[in-house]
Amino acid sequence: MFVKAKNLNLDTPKTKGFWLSVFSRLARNKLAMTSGCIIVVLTLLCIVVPMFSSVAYDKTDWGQIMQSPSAAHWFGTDSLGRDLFVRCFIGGRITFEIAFAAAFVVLLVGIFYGAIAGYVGGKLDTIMMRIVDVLYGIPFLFFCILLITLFGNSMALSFVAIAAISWLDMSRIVRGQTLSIKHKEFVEAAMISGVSNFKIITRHVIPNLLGIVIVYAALTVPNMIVMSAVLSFFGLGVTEPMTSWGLLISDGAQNMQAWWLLLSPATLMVITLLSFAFLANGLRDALDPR
Amino acid sequence: MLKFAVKRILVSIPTLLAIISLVFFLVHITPGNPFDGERALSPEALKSLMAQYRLDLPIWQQYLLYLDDLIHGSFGISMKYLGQPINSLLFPDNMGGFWVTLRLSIYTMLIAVPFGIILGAYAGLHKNSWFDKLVVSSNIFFTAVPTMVTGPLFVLILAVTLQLFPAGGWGDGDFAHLFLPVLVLVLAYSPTIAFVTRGSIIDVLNSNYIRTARAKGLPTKKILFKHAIKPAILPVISLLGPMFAGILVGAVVTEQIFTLPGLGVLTTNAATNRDYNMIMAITILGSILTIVFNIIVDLLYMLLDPKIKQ
Repeated sequence: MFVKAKNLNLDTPKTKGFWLSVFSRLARNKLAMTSGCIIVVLTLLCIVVPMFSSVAYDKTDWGQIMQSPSAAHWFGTDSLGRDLFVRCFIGGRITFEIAFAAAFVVLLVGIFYGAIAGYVGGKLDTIMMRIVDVLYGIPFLFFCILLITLFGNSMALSFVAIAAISWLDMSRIVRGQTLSIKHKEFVEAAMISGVSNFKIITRHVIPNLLGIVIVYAALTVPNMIVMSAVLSFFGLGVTEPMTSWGLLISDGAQNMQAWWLLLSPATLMVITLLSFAFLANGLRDALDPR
Repeated sequence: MLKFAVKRILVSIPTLLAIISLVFFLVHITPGNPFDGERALSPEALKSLMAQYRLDLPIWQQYLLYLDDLIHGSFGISMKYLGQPINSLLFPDNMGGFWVTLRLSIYTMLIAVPFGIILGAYAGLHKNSWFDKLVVSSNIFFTAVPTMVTGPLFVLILAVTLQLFPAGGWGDGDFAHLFLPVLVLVLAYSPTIAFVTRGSIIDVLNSNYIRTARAKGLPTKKILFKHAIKPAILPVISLLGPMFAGILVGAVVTEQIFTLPGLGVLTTNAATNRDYNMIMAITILGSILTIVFNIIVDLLYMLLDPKIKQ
């Protein structure tokens, strides 16, 4: 019987799939596409530059202290004579690593928390959302610093701390979306035919959340970049000689006479953050054309 | 109305209690204590320290005593500056600590809110003009790029290169010293306010009752100030609650950029010295402020929105 239905399907005229039309709409958005390309290029540079550069990121050169940008050092050198070009990109690598890892955890926790609260509803929903409300009342920076103070200062922990306080928005959005999906016919049909709750959540609810999750992911990564940078400003997270954009900017802010120390990482970060913002905008327009 | 206000305040008490408990138990259940790293303390000295900080008591007793302290307005004793009450560090007699952060946040609110509303209203009234586009794009820019990037850039241009303002420090809280930090914060938050105002002005101007007013021949000025302003401002007010928490944190970050002696320095010191009591105090203080401000915003909203009023 199922085979027959499948055969019937083949005869129906082919319509453009949902994701295909989303992609073609996105491809027509020049700003979003350019931004996407910039992000890809920057990510590749962050991987490649430290690998193939002739100087190591932590190689100090006392003869080359605080040199302004030149042919030998494209972005200049810092107060220890280290090449800023390499440091900017290794810092970018660390920043991206923290941001992507934290964003991944945020999405995972936020999706499951929100989907469960929205799908199960009732008392559980009330309790789960009250917990979110309570956590919302704590200013994120202080809570994050509290967590790092308690559990020690390391890169891995700083991303856990960032992720631990950033999933709240995601869970709220997912819960709202789940509530509306829950009352769609296909989910009600699945419920009536006795599919288990867990399976409905993982097979029907979460895939249908994909659109909003993608948009939100594009917004979460830059948020995580900013948060890890802010922590660096407080001397937490990544520590010397390893570096991150936040650490480079805060270093540049303390050595204003050497403008390149500030401008190089700041420019890279501004470009990245704006690219993510435009990409997220483009994705939203492509997924939800009005 | 009064009933609503009382109810709103009562509802926030369990939230605050939950936050305090969460922070307290998180700190006290984590193994290790801040005196672990201290240079070789004699057992007796350690014991008396533990007793002074009540760390030798069972945890529920510590918790109740902490709550008791909080109710009496005390945040306990600093673990770094031994014996010094946290209140005297947080709320010093001279300018510093919380007062710096509070003043920065209040100045920012007082300037950014009217500034944002005026810009947004103007942009909304002249939709698609160059000014409107400026407001929309500056919103995109300043939402994406945080103060920790714009701040140092402003210092580099306006303070170091052009020498118009001091690059940092509190001075005696004078205009020149406060201009840049407040400017950075205002620029970070007013575009969002402007963008929301713009959207809601456009919505309101398209609504039926404004069209009726127009059709009846009311002058534009009267339509704007009598009928459009109030409903257009409601979404902006509901935006202010969550925004205040952001401004508070933003002010702390800005303090770091301009080396102001506020909560930022206290937080950094507490984090590096593992001063648990201090960081607990700052987190709880921040939460109290956020909650209080949200209550104020809700009450304001209720005063303005006729739907809730009855």
